[in-house]
Amino acid sequence: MKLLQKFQDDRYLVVKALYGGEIFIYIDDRAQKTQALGRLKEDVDLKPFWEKHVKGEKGFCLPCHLLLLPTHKVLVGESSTAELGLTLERFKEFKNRLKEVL
Amino acid sequence: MKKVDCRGLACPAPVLKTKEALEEIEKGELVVIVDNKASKENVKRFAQKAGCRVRVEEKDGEFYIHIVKGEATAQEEEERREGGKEVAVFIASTYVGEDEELGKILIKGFIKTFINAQPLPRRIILVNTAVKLACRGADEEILAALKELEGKGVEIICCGTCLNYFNLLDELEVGVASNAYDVVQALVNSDSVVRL
Repeated sequence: MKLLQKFQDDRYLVVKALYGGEIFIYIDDRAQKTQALGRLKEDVDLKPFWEKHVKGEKGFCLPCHLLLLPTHKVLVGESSTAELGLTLERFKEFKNRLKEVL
Repeated sequence: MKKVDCRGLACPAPVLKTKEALEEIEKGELVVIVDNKASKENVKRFAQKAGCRVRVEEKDGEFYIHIVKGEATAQEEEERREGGKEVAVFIASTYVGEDEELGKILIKGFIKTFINAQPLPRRIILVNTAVKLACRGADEEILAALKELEGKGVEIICCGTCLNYFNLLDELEVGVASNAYDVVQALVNSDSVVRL
């Protein structure tokens, strides 16, 4: 796994990484205890999204915008998950590898 | 009618709550309330991919997403496929043909007429300047027609790259912003493509 972009504050960890020859985006919302992993079909610079979030633009929801980018994703909450083209197993694999490189 | 209030929640929570609520009902309607556009898009996409019919109402900056699951949707799908074909309409400009003035009248007429087409198109794909037809500031009759088509289950797919190019990502009023992969999939999954 190769980290391509990483942004972090008290609430969010956002990572773009090359994994298995494909680009993934990982979002961890510590406040809400939700996580998401999506596979990007085309490379997207996440910096403008993060900058909007940091500026605190009214009505801008960082993970909501980021989750519009991937077609295939898996969403993980405390009590439920949604496999939308990616499996929970893939999510766990990714998360384990991510821990090694962070 | 069941209500799922997701105001104040960030994604993916609204999508997960919608999924849970849909799993609890066999058929019928639920309303998901969200307070930002991107969240609305995520919930709408999820529900549409789950085979539900989706209609969105905006009230004071909040979005009421009406999601219908069950028999009615399946029956409508059957009716739509009655002709045996899934038709995609591909629009790449804000007007039809060479003359712009006449072309703008024509595109409005065509889009409004699609409401009465039998069968309805399965999806309408907007690329290049045509994405402006689905954004705030577009001709009101065209916007209303696209919303009505969406309410009838027609997917309105807008090229995300094009929206981004014209700085219109936050101005999308109807349909979903999609990537190149989704646009291509929508085209190859259609039995025939009508280009305006």
